[in-house]
Amino acid sequence: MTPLTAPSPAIRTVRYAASSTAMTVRNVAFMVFTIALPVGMYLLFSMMFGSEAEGAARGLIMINMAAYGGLGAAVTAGTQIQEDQRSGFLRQLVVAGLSPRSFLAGSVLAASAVIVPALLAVGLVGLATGVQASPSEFVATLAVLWLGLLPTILIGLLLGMLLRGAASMAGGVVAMMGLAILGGLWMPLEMFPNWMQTLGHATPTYWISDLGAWALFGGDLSLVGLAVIGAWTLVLALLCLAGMSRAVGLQRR
Amino acid sequence: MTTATAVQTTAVHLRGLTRSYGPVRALDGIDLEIRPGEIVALLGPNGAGKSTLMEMLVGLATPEQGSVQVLGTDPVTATRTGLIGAMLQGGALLPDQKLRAMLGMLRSLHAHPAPLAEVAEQAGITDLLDRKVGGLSGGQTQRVRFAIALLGDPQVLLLDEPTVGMDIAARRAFWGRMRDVAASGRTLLFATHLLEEAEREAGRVIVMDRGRIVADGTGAEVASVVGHRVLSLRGLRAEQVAQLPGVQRATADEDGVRAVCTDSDAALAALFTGPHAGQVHDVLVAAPGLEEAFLRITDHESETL
Repeated sequence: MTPLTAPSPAIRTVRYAASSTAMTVRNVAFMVFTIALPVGMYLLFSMMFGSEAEGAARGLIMINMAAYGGLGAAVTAGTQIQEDQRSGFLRQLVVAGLSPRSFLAGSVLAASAVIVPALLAVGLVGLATGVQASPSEFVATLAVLWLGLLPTILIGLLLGMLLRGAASMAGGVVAMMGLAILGGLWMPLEMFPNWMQTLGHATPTYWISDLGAWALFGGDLSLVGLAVIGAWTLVLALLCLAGMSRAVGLQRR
Repeated sequence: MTTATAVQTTAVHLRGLTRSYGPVRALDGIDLEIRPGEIVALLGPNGAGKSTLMEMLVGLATPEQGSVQVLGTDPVTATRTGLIGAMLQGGALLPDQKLRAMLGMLRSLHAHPAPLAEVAEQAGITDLLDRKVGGLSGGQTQRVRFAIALLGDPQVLLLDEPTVGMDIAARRAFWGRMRDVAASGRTLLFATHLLEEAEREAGRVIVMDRGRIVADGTGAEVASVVGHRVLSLRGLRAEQVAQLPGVQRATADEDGVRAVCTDSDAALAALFTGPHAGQVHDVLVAAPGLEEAFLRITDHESETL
């Protein structure tokens, strides 16, 4: 008889994340959409405004468009992964031995992995088109953006838990546009009315971009930014955990 | 595990399970023991509580009262250590994925997975592995769900309505494959509302109705719970047959007389030793089929009306 041995929850989490990542990466439409759009917008904006501020604008546009690409990938992947499970596939995963908590952690890991190509693509195109950055600055900038995008992944997961089907996709687009515009990723926040700026300063995306600029250009690290991103992450993580035990689909009726 | 403990360990051990969904009592005090290696059919109409029972065995539902043990451990541990596998009714799949990728994902989570090629062979889906899950037919999808149940190489296998949506040929092929799997000594519990399937495939039939177990035994035993034999004959009037000892009631139609007997032996003895012995012909004694027993056991139309 087989002894009662089982892979640890951590190993199961990683295995689930690996399969889930592979499935998302093989989705051609997803990859094209999340890479081509931010790269195209970077090229457009850097052509129009890139040489302002003695070329520093180009670096900022790179940061903002990488953040935008990552945001899109994060929200879309989060919603998509969650949506698949909402259909009831999670029941199969649980019977195979994955705990709902491992599922949640694995989903975050998988979404974190699939935002890397978008970040890298915009970054590399930026370097190729004249963004000035040492290798360490470049890596640090992308790493800061990558870590900062964590709350946006959780937003995607939460949308997938709360909304169904087309509504979750639409919700994802709205959240993505809202966060991109209010966070000043497309246009500098200073161009907006005061009330929108105030709102913008409460978004994680504004501070993701700010932290990215800190990593690329140096200057003071914004503690407010870290606090805002941290608060978003904490609240969203708690909501996800609460939503998981409720919407897990384990109780059918 | 040593032989001694294996003997002591029951495959499935349920005590006093209850579970309600709103006003509906899905399980109403279930006690059940299944020994390792048994093949058991769970028979009952829709809403009898079969699916809820199966969900509890894999930890997808929790009882309000009572205890669930699978091979001596709780259901969640049993799923995590790969002791139990399940083919869930209408179990959702990932329609956009290739079958191989989806099975690979599930397989990677198991404690001691069976080789994919072997599972695919057993379930008869080898030629489907590179197809998209969403493009498979209903019968093919059922085979995929069967494969999912086998992926973890479990000792206890649950199948909730495994042949739903299959035509007769597919059903026959499915049970052929199923027998090969069962021959490896696994414990098998399947839910069905097809009587003929339960009688043919299972050594033990458990009839559930409205959250309770109402009969438990071999197909023949369950049928005899009703205890009656049916005596049919020609050459006599129904009233004459009804007079015989051991006959409960008798009816006549163009085929002859049909008598429901509480003691068919006594009825036959009286028939052939009595004054009518010369007139009677075409005598036949039959046990009611499982279908008749099942209908009688679960018949509560008269109570509810």
